[in-house]
Amino acid sequence: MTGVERLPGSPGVVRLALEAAEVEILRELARQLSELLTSRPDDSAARALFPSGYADPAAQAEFDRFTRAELGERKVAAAGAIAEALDRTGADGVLIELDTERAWPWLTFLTDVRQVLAARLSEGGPPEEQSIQAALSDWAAYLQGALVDALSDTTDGGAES
Amino acid sequence: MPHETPLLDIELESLDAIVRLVPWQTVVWDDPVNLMSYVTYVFQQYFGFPRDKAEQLMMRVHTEGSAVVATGNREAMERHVLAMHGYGLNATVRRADDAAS
Repeated sequence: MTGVERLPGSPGVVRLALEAAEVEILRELARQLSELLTSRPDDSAARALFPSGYADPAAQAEFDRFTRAELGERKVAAAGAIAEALDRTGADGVLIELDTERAWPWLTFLTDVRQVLAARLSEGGPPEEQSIQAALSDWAAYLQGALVDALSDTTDGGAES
Repeated sequence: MPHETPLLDIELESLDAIVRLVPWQTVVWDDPVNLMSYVTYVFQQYFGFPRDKAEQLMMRVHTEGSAVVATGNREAMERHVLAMHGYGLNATVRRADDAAS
Protein backbone atom coordinates (compact mmCIF):
# COMPACT_ATOMS: atom_id res chain seq x y z
CA MET A 1 0.00 0.00 0.00
CA THR A 2 1.43 3.37 -1.03
CA GLY A 3 1.59 5.90 1.70
CA VAL A 4 3.58 7.99 4.07
CA GLU A 5 3.37 7.76 7.82
CA ARG A 6 5.12 9.05 10.89
CA LEU A 7 7.36 6.60 12.66
CA PRO A 8 6.18 6.03 16.20
CA GLY A 9 9.03 6.67 18.62
CA SER A 10 11.17 8.47 16.03
CA PRO A 11 10.21 12.14 15.95
CA GLY A 12 11.06 13.88 12.68
CA VAL A 13 11.14 10.64 10.73
CA VAL A 14 8.55 9.52 8.20
CA ARG A 15 8.24 6.21 6.41
CA LEU A 16 7.44 6.10 2.72
CA ALA A 17 5.87 2.89 1.44
CA LEU A 18 6.15 2.28 -2.28
CA GLU A 19 4.87 -0.52 -4.45
CA ALA A 20 7.20 -2.24 -6.90
CA ALA A 21 5.57 -0.48 -9.87
CA GLU A 22 6.08 2.89 -8.23
CA VAL A 23 9.74 2.12 -7.57
CA GLU A 24 10.17 1.41 -11.28
CA ILE A 25 8.42 4.63 -12.28
CA LEU A 26 10.51 6.70 -9.86
CA ARG A 27 13.71 5.09 -11.13
CA GLU A 28 12.77 5.87 -14.70
CA LEU A 29 11.76 9.45 -13.86
CA ALA A 30 15.03 10.02 -11.97
CA ARG A 31 17.00 8.71 -14.93
CA GLN A 32 15.06 10.84 -17.41
CA LEU A 33 15.31 14.00 -15.33
CA SER A 34 19.09 13.63 -14.98
CA GLU A 35 19.37 12.98 -18.68
CA LEU A 36 17.26 16.03 -19.52
CA LEU A 37 19.33 18.29 -17.25
CA THR A 38 22.72 17.04 -18.36
CA SER A 39 22.17 16.34 -22.07
CA ARG A 40 19.34 18.64 -23.17
CA PRO A 41 19.59 21.86 -21.13
CA ASP A 42 17.94 23.89 -23.91
CA ASP A 43 14.83 21.71 -24.03
CA SER A 44 11.80 23.83 -23.06
CA ALA A 45 11.03 21.39 -20.23
CA ALA A 46 14.58 21.78 -18.87
CA ARG A 47 14.31 25.55 -19.09
CA ALA A 48 11.13 25.39 -17.00
CA LEU A 49 13.32 24.16 -14.13
CA PHE A 50 15.28 27.43 -14.05
CA PRO A 51 12.93 30.34 -13.38
CA SER A 52 14.09 33.93 -13.83
CA GLY A 53 15.59 35.59 -10.76
CA TYR A 54 15.06 39.10 -12.11
CA ALA A 55 12.45 40.74 -14.30
CA ASP A 56 15.20 42.85 -15.88
CA PRO A 57 16.83 40.85 -18.71
CA ALA A 58 20.38 42.10 -18.06
CA ALA A 59 20.18 41.38 -14.31
CA GLN A 60 18.59 38.00 -15.10
CA ALA A 61 21.41 37.06 -17.51
CA GLU A 62 23.94 37.87 -14.79
CA PHE A 63 21.99 35.96 -12.14
CA ASP A 64 21.64 32.98 -14.46
CA ARG A 65 25.37 32.98 -15.18
CA PHE A 66 26.19 32.76 -11.46
CA THR A 67 23.48 30.35 -10.36
CA ARG A 68 22.54 28.00 -13.18
CA ALA A 69 25.33 25.47 -12.82
CA GLU A 70 24.86 25.16 -9.06
CA LEU A 71 21.10 24.84 -9.38
CA GLY A 72 21.40 22.24 -12.13
CA GLU A 73 23.90 20.21 -10.10
CA ARG A 74 21.56 20.27 -7.11
CA LYS A 75 18.70 18.95 -9.22
CA VAL A 76 20.81 16.17 -10.73
CA ALA A 77 22.09 15.28 -7.24
CA ALA A 78 18.51 15.04 -5.95
CA ALA A 79 17.56 12.67 -8.77
CA GLY A 80 20.70 10.66 -7.98
CA ALA A 81 19.78 10.48 -4.29
CA ILE A 82 16.37 9.05 -5.18
CA ALA A 83 17.89 6.47 -7.53
CA GLU A 84 20.38 5.46 -4.82
CA ALA A 85 17.70 5.15 -2.14
CA LEU A 86 15.67 2.94 -4.47
CA ASP A 87 18.71 0.80 -5.32
CA ARG A 88 19.23 0.03 -1.65
CA THR A 89 15.78 -1.50 -1.47
CA GLY A 90 14.55 -4.93 -2.49
CA ALA A 91 12.60 -5.83 -5.60
CA ASP A 92 9.17 -5.93 -3.96
CA GLY A 93 7.34 -3.01 -2.44
CA VAL A 94 9.72 -0.99 -0.33
CA LEU A 95 9.82 1.09 2.80
CA ILE A 96 12.07 4.13 2.88
CA GLU A 97 12.67 6.09 6.06
CA LEU A 98 13.31 9.81 5.66
CA ASP A 99 14.07 12.54 8.16
CA THR A 100 13.49 16.21 7.34
CA GLU A 101 16.92 16.54 5.72
CA ARG A 102 16.79 13.38 3.62
CA ALA A 103 13.25 14.19 2.51
CA TRP A 104 14.33 17.35 0.66
CA PRO A 105 15.69 15.63 -2.47
CA TRP A 106 12.40 13.73 -2.71
CA LEU A 107 10.32 16.89 -2.36
CA THR A 108 12.34 18.93 -4.85
CA PHE A 109 12.60 16.02 -7.27
CA LEU A 110 8.82 15.52 -7.28
CA THR A 111 8.33 19.24 -7.93
CA ASP A 112 10.84 19.16 -10.79
CA VAL A 113 9.13 16.12 -12.30
CA ARG A 114 5.80 17.95 -12.19
CA GLN A 115 7.33 21.09 -13.72
CA VAL A 116 8.67 19.01 -16.62
CA LEU A 117 5.34 17.22 -17.06
CA ALA A 118 3.49 20.57 -17.01
CA ALA A 119 5.85 21.90 -19.70
CA ARG A 120 5.26 18.78 -21.80
CA LEU A 121 1.49 18.99 -21.33
CA SER A 122 1.50 22.62 -22.43
CA GLU A 123 3.21 21.58 -25.65
CA GLY A 124 0.13 19.50 -26.48
CA GLY A 125 1.31 16.06 -27.60
CA PRO A 126 -0.87 13.10 -28.67
CA PRO A 127 -3.89 12.55 -26.34
CA GLU A 128 -2.71 9.15 -25.06
CA GLU A 129 0.67 10.66 -24.14
CA GLN A 130 -1.04 13.57 -22.42
CA SER A 131 -3.21 11.32 -20.29
CA ILE A 132 -0.11 9.43 -19.13
CA GLN A 133 1.65 12.70 -18.34
CA ALA A 134 -1.38 14.00 -16.45
CA ALA A 135 -1.68 10.75 -14.48
CA LEU A 136 2.03 10.81 -13.60
CA SER A 137 1.74 14.42 -12.47
CA ASP A 138 -1.27 13.62 -10.26
CA TRP A 139 0.56 10.67 -8.75
CA ALA A 140 3.71 12.78 -8.07
CA ALA A 141 1.48 15.44 -6.47
CA TYR A 142 -0.18 12.82 -4.28
CA LEU A 143 3.20 11.46 -3.17
CA GLN A 144 4.63 14.91 -2.49
CA GLY A 145 1.49 16.01 -0.63
CA ALA A 146 1.57 12.89 1.55
CA LEU A 147 5.25 13.49 2.36
CA VAL A 148 4.67 17.16 3.20
CA ASP A 149 1.69 16.33 5.43
CA ALA A 150 3.60 13.67 7.35
CA LEU A 151 6.70 15.87 7.69
CA SER A 152 4.61 18.88 8.78
CA ASP A 153 2.99 16.75 11.47
CA THR A 154 6.31 15.65 12.91
CA THR A 155 7.97 19.09 12.75
CA ASP A 156 4.95 20.93 14.15
CA GLY A 157 4.74 18.36 16.91
CA GLY A 158 8.41 18.95 17.64
CA ALA A 159 7.97 22.71 17.82
CA GLU A 160 5.12 22.46 20.31
CA SER A 161 6.87 20.24 22.78
CA MET B 1 15.95 74.21 12.48
CA PRO B 2 17.36 75.13 9.07
CA HIS B 3 19.60 72.61 7.35
CA GLU B 4 23.18 73.73 7.51
CA THR B 5 24.10 71.56 4.55
CA PRO B 6 21.89 71.73 1.50
CA LEU B 7 20.98 68.30 0.26
CA LEU B 8 22.60 68.90 -3.10
CA ASP B 9 25.98 69.15 -1.44
CA ILE B 10 25.98 65.46 -0.71
CA GLU B 11 28.93 63.90 -2.40
CA LEU B 12 28.44 61.38 -5.08
CA GLU B 13 29.89 58.67 -2.88
CA SER B 14 27.32 59.18 -0.15
CA LEU B 15 24.58 59.34 -2.74
CA ASP B 16 25.69 55.95 -3.88
CA ALA B 17 25.55 54.77 -0.28
CA ILE B 18 22.02 56.16 0.06
CA VAL B 19 20.88 54.43 -3.09
CA ARG B 20 22.25 51.23 -1.65
CA LEU B 21 20.17 51.81 1.48
CA VAL B 22 17.00 51.05 -0.46
CA PRO B 23 16.36 47.45 0.45
CA TRP B 24 15.74 44.60 -1.93
CA GLN B 25 12.96 42.05 -1.76
CA THR B 26 12.48 38.37 -2.37
CA VAL B 27 9.17 37.93 -4.18
CA VAL B 28 7.57 34.51 -4.59
CA TRP B 29 5.16 34.16 -7.52
CA ASP B 30 2.17 31.91 -7.94
CA ASP B 31 2.69 28.95 -10.25
CA PRO B 32 0.28 26.28 -11.46
CA VAL B 33 2.44 23.35 -10.33
CA ASN B 34 3.36 23.63 -6.67
CA LEU B 35 1.02 22.35 -3.97
CA MET B 36 -0.15 24.89 -1.39
CA SER B 37 1.00 22.59 1.41
CA TYR B 38 4.47 22.30 -0.13
CA VAL B 39 4.86 26.09 -0.50
CA THR B 40 3.83 26.51 3.16
CA TYR B 41 6.30 23.82 4.19
CA VAL B 42 9.15 25.51 2.27
CA PHE B 43 8.38 28.86 3.94
CA GLN B 44 8.37 27.20 7.36
CA GLN B 45 11.52 25.18 6.88
CA TYR B 46 13.68 27.63 4.96
CA PHE B 47 12.69 30.96 6.55
CA GLY B 48 11.79 29.46 9.92
CA PHE B 49 8.36 31.10 9.84
CA PRO B 50 5.72 29.75 12.22
CA ARG B 51 3.06 27.75 10.43
CA ASP B 52 0.37 30.47 10.53
CA LYS B 53 2.71 33.08 9.02
CA ALA B 54 3.89 30.63 6.36
CA GLU B 55 0.26 29.84 5.51
CA GLN B 56 -0.67 33.53 5.28
CA LEU B 57 2.20 34.19 2.88
CA MET B 58 1.34 31.13 0.81
CA MET B 59 -2.29 32.31 0.58
CA ARG B 60 -1.12 35.75 -0.52
CA VAL B 61 0.97 34.14 -3.27
CA HIS B 62 -2.02 32.03 -4.26
CA THR B 63 -4.73 34.71 -4.23
CA GLU B 64 -2.78 37.86 -5.16
CA GLY B 65 -0.26 36.24 -7.49
CA SER B 66 2.82 37.09 -5.43
CA ALA B 67 4.10 37.92 -1.96
CA VAL B 68 7.21 39.54 -0.51
CA VAL B 69 8.74 36.91 1.76
CA ALA B 70 11.98 38.69 2.70
CA THR B 71 13.57 42.15 2.63
CA GLY B 72 17.24 43.00 2.97
CA ASN B 73 20.42 43.54 1.04
CA ARG B 74 20.74 42.39 -2.54
CA GLU B 75 23.16 39.54 -1.90
CA ALA B 76 20.96 38.05 0.79
CA MET B 77 17.89 38.30 -1.46
CA GLU B 78 19.76 36.60 -4.31
CA ARG B 79 20.63 33.75 -1.95
CA HIS B 80 16.95 33.45 -0.97
CA VAL B 81 15.80 33.47 -4.59
CA LEU B 82 18.34 30.81 -5.52
CA ALA B 83 17.14 28.74 -2.56
CA MET B 84 13.50 29.17 -3.70
CA HIS B 85 14.46 28.06 -7.22
CA GLY B 86 16.15 25.07 -5.61
CA TYR B 87 12.83 24.17 -4.00
CA GLY B 88 11.14 24.57 -7.38
CA LEU B 89 9.34 27.81 -6.47
CA ASN B 90 9.12 30.79 -8.79
CA ALA B 91 10.87 33.76 -7.15
CA THR B 92 12.55 37.02 -8.14
CA VAL B 93 14.75 39.71 -6.60
CA ARG B 94 13.61 43.31 -6.91
CA ARG B 95 14.33 46.66 -5.35
CA ALA B 96 11.72 47.61 -2.76
CA ASP B 97 10.95 50.81 -4.72
CA ASP B 98 10.27 48.75 -7.85
CA ALA B 99 7.32 47.07 -6.15
CA ALA B 100 4.84 48.59 -8.60
CA SER B 101 6.60 47.16 -11.62
